[in-house]
Amino acid sequence: MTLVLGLVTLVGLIGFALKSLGDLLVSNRPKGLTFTALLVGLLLLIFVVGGASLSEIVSGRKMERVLEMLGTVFLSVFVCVGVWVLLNLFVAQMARGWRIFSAILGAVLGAGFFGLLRGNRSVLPIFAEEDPFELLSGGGWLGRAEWPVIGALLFGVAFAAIAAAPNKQVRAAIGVVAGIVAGALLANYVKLWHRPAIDWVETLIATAVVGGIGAAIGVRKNALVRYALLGAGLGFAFGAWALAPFGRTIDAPWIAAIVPMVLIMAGIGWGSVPTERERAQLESRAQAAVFLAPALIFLTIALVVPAIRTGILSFKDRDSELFVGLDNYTELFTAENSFDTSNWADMFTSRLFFVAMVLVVIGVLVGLITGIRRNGSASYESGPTSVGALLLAVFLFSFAALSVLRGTFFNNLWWVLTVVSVATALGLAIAVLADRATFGEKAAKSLIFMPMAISFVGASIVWRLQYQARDIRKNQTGVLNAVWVELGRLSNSGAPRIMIMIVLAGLLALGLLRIVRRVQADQPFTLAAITTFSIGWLLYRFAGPRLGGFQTVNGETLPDTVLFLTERPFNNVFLMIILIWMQVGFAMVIFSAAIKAVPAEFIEAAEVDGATESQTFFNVTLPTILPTVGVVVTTMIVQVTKVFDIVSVAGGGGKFGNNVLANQMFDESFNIGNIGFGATIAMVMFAMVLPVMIYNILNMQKGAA
Amino acid sequence: MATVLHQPKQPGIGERIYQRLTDVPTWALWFLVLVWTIPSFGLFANSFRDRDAQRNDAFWNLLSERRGTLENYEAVLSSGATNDLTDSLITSLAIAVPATIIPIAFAAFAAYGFAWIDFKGRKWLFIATVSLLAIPLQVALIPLLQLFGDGTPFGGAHLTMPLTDKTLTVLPLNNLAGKASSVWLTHTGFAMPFSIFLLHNYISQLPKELFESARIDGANHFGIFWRLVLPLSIPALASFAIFQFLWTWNDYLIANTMLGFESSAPTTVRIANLAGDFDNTDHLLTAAAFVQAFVPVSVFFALQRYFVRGLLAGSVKG
Repeated sequence: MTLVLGLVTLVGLIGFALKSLGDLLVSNRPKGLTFTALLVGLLLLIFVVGGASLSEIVSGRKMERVLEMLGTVFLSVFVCVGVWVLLNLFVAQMARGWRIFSAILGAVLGAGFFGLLRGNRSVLPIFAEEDPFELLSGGGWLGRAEWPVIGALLFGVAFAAIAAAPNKQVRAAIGVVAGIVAGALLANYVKLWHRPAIDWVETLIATAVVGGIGAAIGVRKNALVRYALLGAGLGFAFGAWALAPFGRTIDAPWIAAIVPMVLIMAGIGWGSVPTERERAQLESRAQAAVFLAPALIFLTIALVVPAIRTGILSFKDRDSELFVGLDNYTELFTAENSFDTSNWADMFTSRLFFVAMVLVVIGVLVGLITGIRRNGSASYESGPTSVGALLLAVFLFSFAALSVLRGTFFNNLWWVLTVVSVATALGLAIAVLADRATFGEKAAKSLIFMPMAISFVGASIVWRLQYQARDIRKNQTGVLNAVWVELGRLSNSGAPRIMIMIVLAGLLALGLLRIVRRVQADQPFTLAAITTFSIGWLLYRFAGPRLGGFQTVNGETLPDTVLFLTERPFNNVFLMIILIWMQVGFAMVIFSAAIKAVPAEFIEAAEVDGATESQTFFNVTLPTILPTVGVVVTTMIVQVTKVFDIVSVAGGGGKFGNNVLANQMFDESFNIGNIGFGATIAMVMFAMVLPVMIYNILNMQKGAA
Repeated sequence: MATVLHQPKQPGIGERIYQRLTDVPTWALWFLVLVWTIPSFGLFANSFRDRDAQRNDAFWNLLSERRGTLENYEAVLSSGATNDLTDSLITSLAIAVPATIIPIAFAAFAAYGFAWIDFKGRKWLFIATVSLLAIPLQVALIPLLQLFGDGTPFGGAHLTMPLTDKTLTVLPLNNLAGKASSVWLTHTGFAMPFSIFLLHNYISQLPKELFESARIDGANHFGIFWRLVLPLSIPALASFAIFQFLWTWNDYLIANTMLGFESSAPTTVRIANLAGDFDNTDHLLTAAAFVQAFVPVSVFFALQRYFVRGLLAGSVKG
């Protein structure tokens, strides 16, 4: 009972909160932001507390986790946004508060530099054997706070003094002093096994090379000495510390530490303080950097670097140790379960192939008949019916081909072909129907759109239930098999079967009558013909070979089920239906908006010219929304190529001849542990979506411009 | 004759009924709606039936059985039970909330930067950013998992310097493996190209005079962004927020990669694992799936308009 009450209250509260959120968003006032934030917070609180404790409101453990979660969420959000706001305030100091800016800059750089050294465990702790400040358990990173604090103080003071000093010489002198202090500190505390055995030749070469580069930059920037000093300092540090072996000498590394620090700090000091105008210019550039930095940092860490690394990994072996060249790629493209064409000849005997051939004949004939009627000669004239039949034939040919070709790649292609074309066509059809519907347009669209809000996992669960097949002697629990078995029972029964056949015969007669009338009135009759043909086919099945799930064993008729998810190769199609179910809503919404955006004058003009409704659609509406069709198709191609969740959850992990690339990639990388092969599959997927994405992005640029 | 001429304007009751009955498009539409809703309705109905009922019959027997029960919901929502999902719900929320707010904030900053701050190479940087949409998730998964730890001795980013055999640890992240943070950090990175594109579309359309007058009043970029752009872009931000929230709440691939083996894995992962366990917990799947879908579906129905607007503004999410 508490549960019911809790659920009802929860639903009510969430509904109310969301409604008020929507209202606020509509009013679009600046104040709305605060309210929105408050409401979102309230909503989350209600949900978390409600979800965590429907049965026990304040059980200790749960509350702890809820609070911990809220704490982490708020901390991460506030840190991310807070650091950014602080950065803005910091940059805003540049033009007017140069000294404060310099001090903070120095402190941050110093803390970062010393922190990096301590984090890599290159220097010893200063005050104690064990670090006194364990702030965060960062594996000796921020946890050893003393080095960052000292770095911040040292460099902060030095930078502030440099900014305050009257002339070049004093500034350089301050820089030299600071460099000596910092260098001495490092030299004194660097760990024994991190002391370099300096190779003087290498070090001097590095100093000269980097110093030269610095000088070259300096000439262009009109600050030769400064950049030469900075370059020489960096070059010396690289030569002395990075090129030399560690731990070969027990000498105190005074030279290696002090020389580069002095050079760099003197270089920072040597140079003119920027004028107010220069600083204002610098500030606006720094502001651009601050606005772009968070996004660019995340893009680099999460996308650019990993993509490059995956590219490299794909040329390495399973443990990413040895380079194996193109071995992974060769293996992927030659593997039996990637491309399996052994059954290709079956295509020509399949029923789909036959139907497609018939459609080609129909399409050509309709085209020719139209030509004869319009031009008086036997030439092909394209029209909706003939083009539609031919398109359907092409689809069926490809579908038939892909149903006999096995393997991951062909499965992926099959997915793309089927889901994209069916979901686009159905979405368009529903959008047109909804546009013409006299009642319930909005509600109908919402309900068809709803699966988009469900997760792929949820949708897989929904459909697994409908696809279930049980022992034939028991009741079926899945809707589809229940219907199928019932159909089989009906078509093998006595009186009910006769009743159905009579009804079907009546409908068939009505359909034929309609076709005759339409022909007499010289109107198109494609739709009536299709409907009538379907009814006729049903009647034939009921009268002759019967329909539905049944089998005959020793003269006895038993029910029979379809193993939707395991029976090859059409288990693939039943998985595709799940995605179609989810994607039709997307296509429908986009097409609906496009159809509503077709200028009313176009439609009116067509009607004035006496065009029928279907003529208006095929000659006015469809050409106008064709670019939208392109957008929907390309978007879906990219999404379907990457399909993973459905195959993983409803498809039994691709065990039943229904594997796709994304699932194989996940399996290889994270279950089997063949990193190189997984990376290879990822790169191949990348290559597959790249052309479509390039097309999409070019389109977007055009649309945005 | 006159009455006949007037009739089309006010059809009689019989005629109206006839029109309704022969209104084929509407009936066809609603037939499709019926087909579309049966699967989800079947799941919903089954979630109120106990284990035996679910195993013996299809969902439409719920009414004739007259013994609807909430025990499935109790099993997935009471803490301490074996199949308790509350921990997972909390994890899902701990992922979806930061993964919604933070990308929006960062993308709004960047979109403003690209739209209204002048700097060299702005156009090319923007094109490069949006082009990253082309990278599929799968391409970045392995390195990201390694970055966050992946059970190996250390995660983090390490730079091996050229010409030397020395490695410098640049980013030590070895405590992020198996934490919700690893998932939302990944989501944040992946949301960037799309969200920047979407918000840039909107923010760059704001009237130019607004910015000029603010500049004359002495406001800097931060001030303009905070006081003008942010409040004005609420509709666009809301559209994207809904999109991103549904996306992250419903995500399975990233969550499964990063937290696949955690006991408090996000709901999608837990449900997928439950689904693999055919015999014992199959009957709980209905309630579990409904609990998981409850949040996005209610968000969807309440804020549908904004969701649709986001979808229309940039139907390119990869």
